[in-house]
Amino acid sequence: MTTSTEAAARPAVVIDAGTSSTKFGYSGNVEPSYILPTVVGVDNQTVGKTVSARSAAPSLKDLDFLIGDEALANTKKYSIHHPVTDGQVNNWDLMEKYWQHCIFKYLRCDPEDHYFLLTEPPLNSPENREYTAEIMFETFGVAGLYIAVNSVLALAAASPIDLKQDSLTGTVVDSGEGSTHIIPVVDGYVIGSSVKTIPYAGKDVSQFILDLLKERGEPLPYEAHEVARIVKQNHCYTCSDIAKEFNKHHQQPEKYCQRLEGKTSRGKDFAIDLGYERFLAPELFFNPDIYTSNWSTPLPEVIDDAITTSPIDTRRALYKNIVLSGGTTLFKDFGRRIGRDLKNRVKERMSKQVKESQEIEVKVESHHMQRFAVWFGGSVLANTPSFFKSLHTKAEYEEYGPSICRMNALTRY
Amino acid sequence: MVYHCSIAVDGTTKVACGTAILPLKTQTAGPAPHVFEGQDVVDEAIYLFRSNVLFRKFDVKGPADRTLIYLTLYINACLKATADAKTKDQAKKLLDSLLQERFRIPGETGFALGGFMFAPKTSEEGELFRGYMKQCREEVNNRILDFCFKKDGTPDKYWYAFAKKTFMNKNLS
Repeated sequence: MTTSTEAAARPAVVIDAGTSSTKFGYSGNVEPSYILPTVVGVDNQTVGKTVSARSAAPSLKDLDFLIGDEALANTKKYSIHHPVTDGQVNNWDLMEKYWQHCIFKYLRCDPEDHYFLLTEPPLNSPENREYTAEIMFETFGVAGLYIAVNSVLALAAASPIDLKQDSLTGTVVDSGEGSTHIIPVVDGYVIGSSVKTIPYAGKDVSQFILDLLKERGEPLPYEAHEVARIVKQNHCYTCSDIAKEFNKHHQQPEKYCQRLEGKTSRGKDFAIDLGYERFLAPELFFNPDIYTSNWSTPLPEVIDDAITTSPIDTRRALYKNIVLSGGTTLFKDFGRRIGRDLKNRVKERMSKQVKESQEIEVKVESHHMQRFAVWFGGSVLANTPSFFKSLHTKAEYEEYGPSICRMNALTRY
Repeated sequence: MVYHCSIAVDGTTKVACGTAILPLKTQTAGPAPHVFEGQDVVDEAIYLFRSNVLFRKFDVKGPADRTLIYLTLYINACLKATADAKTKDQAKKLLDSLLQERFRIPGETGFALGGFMFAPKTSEEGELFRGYMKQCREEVNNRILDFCFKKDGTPDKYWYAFAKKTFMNKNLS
């Protein structure tokens, strides 16, 4: 049996399972080794049958499944399932299968030799942590486990050098593929009642781009979603004013309108022109009316609401440290636009006050690790000495049972 | 958030049916006061058209905004009418026939912006509105094609894509 000192000598395994993509790798690295879609493809015949961790030995058919890109490439034989919705696991058997492939097929490590750091969304139930602990310790026999809240990790990623000074206070704006969350964190604890959700994120930006391109009659290939993704990731930017930007595009088309040529994954060539969707697509966060009638609150207003519903003594600190995380926050000048709009909102509110007070500093942090901020935060955290004090070891699990994992002590630096 | 009209409305500006009779840079005859330089309300409506047409609601801040709304709807109607034209001349002919149509004013049944504008209190007010809007429409016709058509005379797809949009789900009749 591996002793804890041996596991401590090896890097910990960090797995950040999101709704649409899972990032995993070893701690100490700057980037995750693998980024795979969070999908499990099961053989069509085994759908509906469940195998729990302690029941009878699985038949060979249960071993026949794929995860990630491989599953998406083989949809004829395997039916696709998403084990994670809104950050939370909804199907534990599929999640177990997913982790199994992550550990044994991709990372190819022995879980008994490593500590594991997993992530969870804020307001996750303690029962979910117990199930996770059960699977990790019983099925995989990990040496130790720590379950961290993903927004706290995102905060740690934004200022890793100042960890000794800062006590992890800030507002996390986490925008992935499924939905956007605004999470105020004070001293490492999430203020649960102030967490706000916007139901729009990456997939809506892609859909908007697609709608605009179709409306203009661009010749899109059958795999139009791929093209929309390429446009979103490589050609979009945030403008400061849409009317001005339209005018710029009109006056200087050779500078702003681009031609996109490429090949889809199935080998089809395509060539389309790009124009105003480059700046209109990210604009849906600031003017949701242009895309949908279901939601009309702009992102800076939701951030403001989240902070003003937090305890009053924490608000200045929350405004000062707004951190972006997730792929959808990577648009050029996204942070600057949020900062500008939020500053204006705060100024307007402060100007209506009777008594003058010190100006509130609003600062939005953009940093290099934004795309995998949560994973990077986990990677950094798993290398600090106090990580080893806070995690739950196998010995503790065997002594006390899975309920110890309900509480994951905050790591102090 | 929609863009509002930036042209100031002071005590001297006439108001008909809730819409401001704003100055125009025009040679045509009509009730509009004349102005010779700067941006007039038609220029502004064209500049803000592609941005404002994306929104579903418009909170009116004053009578100038109503002029802007009417012009935005009319520009939308122009684009719809000339969407199939291949050359500028064809488009001009289509716009001319659009101009000749008798259009409705507030108070008549079937007026598209019934919620935004008030019925005229006197027949003079109604005539003022009709006369001013006729002038505005003529001005839009004169200027819009310079935007919708590229320098080589072909339609600009970045403008005609907006022919498919409907501003606040209304169509001017």
